[in-house]
Amino acid sequence: MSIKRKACIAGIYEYPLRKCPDQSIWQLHAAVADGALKDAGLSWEDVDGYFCGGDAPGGAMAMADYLGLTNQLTHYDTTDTGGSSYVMHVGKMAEAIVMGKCKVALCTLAGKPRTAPPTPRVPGAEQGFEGGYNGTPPNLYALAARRHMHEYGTTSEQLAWIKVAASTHAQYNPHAMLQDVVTVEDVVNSPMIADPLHMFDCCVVSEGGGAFIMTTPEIAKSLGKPIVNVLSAAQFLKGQAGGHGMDLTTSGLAVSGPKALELAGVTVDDIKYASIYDSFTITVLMQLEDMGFCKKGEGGKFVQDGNLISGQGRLPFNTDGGGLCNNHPVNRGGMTKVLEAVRQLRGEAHEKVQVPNCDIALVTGIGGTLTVRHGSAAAILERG
Amino acid sequence: MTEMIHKYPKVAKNEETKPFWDAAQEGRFLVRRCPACKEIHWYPRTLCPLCHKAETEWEEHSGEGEIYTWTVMRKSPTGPFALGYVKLDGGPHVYVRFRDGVTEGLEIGKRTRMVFDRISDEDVYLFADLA
Repeated sequence: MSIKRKACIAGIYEYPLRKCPDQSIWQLHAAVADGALKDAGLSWEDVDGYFCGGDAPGGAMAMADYLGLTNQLTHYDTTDTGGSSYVMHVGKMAEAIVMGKCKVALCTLAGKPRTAPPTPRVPGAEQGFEGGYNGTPPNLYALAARRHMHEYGTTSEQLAWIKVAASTHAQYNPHAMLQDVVTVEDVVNSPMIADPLHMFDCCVVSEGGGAFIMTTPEIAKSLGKPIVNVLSAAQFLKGQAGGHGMDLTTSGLAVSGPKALELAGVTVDDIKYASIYDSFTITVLMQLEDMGFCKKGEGGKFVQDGNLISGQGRLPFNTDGGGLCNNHPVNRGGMTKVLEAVRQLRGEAHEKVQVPNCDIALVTGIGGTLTVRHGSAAAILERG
Repeated sequence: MTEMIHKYPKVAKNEETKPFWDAAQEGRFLVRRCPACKEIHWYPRTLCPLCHKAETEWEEHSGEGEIYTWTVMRKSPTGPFALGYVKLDGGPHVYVRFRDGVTEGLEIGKRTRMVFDRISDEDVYLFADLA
């Protein structure tokens, strides 16, 4: 059974603030849900499916209770693979709709890591052997960047082009946390955080969140909004595998990416716009290789000279400014990746970054920690 | 023993890993090998995570290996520290922090050894050092 063209993203909303000292986490979830429902032209009473990740305190049961959705949900799902959860939910929501478990599915993400640090994920069995090392996203992703440079000669300047492209797009987003266009020199001269990653290789830490609504094609057509079809979604977990088969230059997207393309019946040549998970510049570079936009090891050449800049390069990416410049709410970038892909397919991106004739878009997610264990997800969306 | 400048959390031990930490107190580095596939894996688990055919057995390892990748974390309130993956001789890659103070001279392929440094009255913890 396929999900292809059997579910549509009908509503989206991104919270406008990047720092939210006066709002509760729950209040933010409610606000983004309300925004997405209004965007879709649907009401709270229509929601019969709810999907969330680890940012929702207490999971779907507690959050649905707060949102006033208990006693009406026929499907609910808490899945936490970090920031990729919301890209994975694209597939899970479509599957639930295709299976008849719900008709109007809501997915929310919200939080405020700057003013109320999220509760750490409950650790797994690895805790005894890793928990004391103070491994954090910058230093753990640096391990991949170092290895990629060693094996393929990738340079800091090449990685910097990814940030340059994101910043070029962010200047047109009035809500973006960082709106200044930066140069390659700015990136490589920014403070070293964890060799070889500089401050500008890292995404922002922002508050707020976002939400999207998925529904059946019949309901979507009745709403009068541009139709955005789900073509496919795929996921793959990658980790240390007992310490064997270690390859820190490849992400799980090397499996989930091609799988999503195959299920959608498209190739990378059909992708007009890509929301690529950008926790760090190296995350983007590896995923572009793993998706097949270029050969493994040639990501550095692929991204340089503005190839990711809308209107200039082969693959416009993260035209909202991405996690690198716009928003990476609750340290989880998957939600905003979905939202910008929908804007592009609707033709609602900023005119300076809107991709002409944008009919097929890719969304990717890498959640957890790239070099330790991560969940990867890819979804392919189509303008209806 | 290197003086600890960082604060380390209490080591999360359990029934399955107690022998590792008991040996660690004596400075011995234990790994688990599978009698079926003959491989050592990391971190230690009872059912072999590689072949799933047998329960693995403890054995002592020299702790020697080489750097697969590394970084120095500069943004740290207690000063820079290094993390990496070390490939153990004849065995798996191990995610490990370098001993406090070791932030210079790190290179992929350089020889390393595992060490246990005391982090509290009760606990020692696993670190890597350049050989």
